Amino acid sequence: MARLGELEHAIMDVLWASDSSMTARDVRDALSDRDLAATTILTVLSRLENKGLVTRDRSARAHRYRPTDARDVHVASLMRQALDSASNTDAALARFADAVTPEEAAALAGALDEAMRRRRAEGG
Amino acid sequence: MHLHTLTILLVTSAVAFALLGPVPAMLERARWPSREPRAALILWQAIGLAGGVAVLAAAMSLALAPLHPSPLIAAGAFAGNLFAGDPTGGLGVAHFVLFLFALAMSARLAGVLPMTIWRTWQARHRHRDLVGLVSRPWPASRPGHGHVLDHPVAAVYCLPGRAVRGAPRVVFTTGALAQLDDTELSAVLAHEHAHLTERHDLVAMPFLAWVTAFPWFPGVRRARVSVAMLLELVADDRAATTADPAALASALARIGGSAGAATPDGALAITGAGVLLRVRRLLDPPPRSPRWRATAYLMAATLVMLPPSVMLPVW
Repeated sequence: MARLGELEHAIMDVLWASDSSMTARDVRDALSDRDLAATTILTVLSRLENKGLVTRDRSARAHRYRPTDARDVHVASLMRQALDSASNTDAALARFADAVTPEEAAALAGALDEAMRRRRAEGG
Repeated sequence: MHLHTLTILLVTSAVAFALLGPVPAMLERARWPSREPRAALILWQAIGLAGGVAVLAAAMSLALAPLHPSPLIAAGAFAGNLFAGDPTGGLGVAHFVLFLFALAMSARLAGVLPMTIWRTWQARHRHRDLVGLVSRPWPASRPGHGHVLDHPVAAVYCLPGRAVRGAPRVVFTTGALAQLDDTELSAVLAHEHAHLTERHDLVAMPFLAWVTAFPWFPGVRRARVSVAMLLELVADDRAATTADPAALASALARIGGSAGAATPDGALAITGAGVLLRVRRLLDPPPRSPRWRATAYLMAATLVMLPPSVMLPVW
């Protein structure tokens, strides 16, 4: 499981770094230090396609793959899930600190000064 | 109506009413839970359990009252009548409708919990999968380990799980990493690992299920919010045993403050009072209170025992 996830990550990194769509062979060449079989690359690419992360162009004999969305788009959607307390995913993760109103931010700034002062005092 | 049935009804309805309204409101406002968050969590769990049982017990004993003064014996008689071919089990129309209502409530409670667990599990699994694909490597110069999302808004959260099927993950945005020095970062990691180690997500789950099942009871909503807050306090306390509490406080103030600044319209979760309270609590820890702790445990035990004990036919 862990190895497969790591491989998916590596292949997505290659696709995101590339300006154009890539064939499985292109991906294998980009990851040549890993010495992967072409079938392994194809398997992972089709897994990524099933997850909606990769789009396949079947017009050429060797299918070409490109990321469905930029990395930023996925990060933005993760952040929406992470910060939206009303969503279904609220229970799925635990935030360290929720956002605050401006008045509370002012009170927090005061508390922060106090915390820093104490840390300096304790740290010597 | 038989005196015994009346007693059961009075006790169970009183408990149900108290636990769905005034008791959660009082506990939410009380100050001692900040001193004894673990005991307060146990009390909330007892309130949730006893409240649910009391509502169902009150409805069931009223529905089955015509058959026998003792609800347990009445339930037996009811089942016997059903098997004997009486479609309403020997009850009149009004009582039979009440019985169906109580049955529907029980089924809803019993069904919503697994459904909530399943949905949460799926959402978390999708989220974790995507984090694994888009995250950047943890900077080698920083202490600890976690997943990094390239985003300017400072946010930190954890994805609970078992090591077997999707290991738990702590996620930092680059915005959060930039805000924290190494001591603060270690303190935040200690806080998140406290959540993951103690499986706080499992403690919060039943309360989420109750809100989903009965969103119209204010006590149920209060319970969920308070439990979430108490879990933060417990994680703060645990982190403070290994990390510098002042560093955890400054980390909280930085991340809470900057996330607020990033969303001036306050579209995000506005529960900043929680952050402020936690910061102050970390800087000036309130004294522990063995007396409140003992009282909370005693109240919890009494609550859980009360509804079933009045149902027993020994009275």
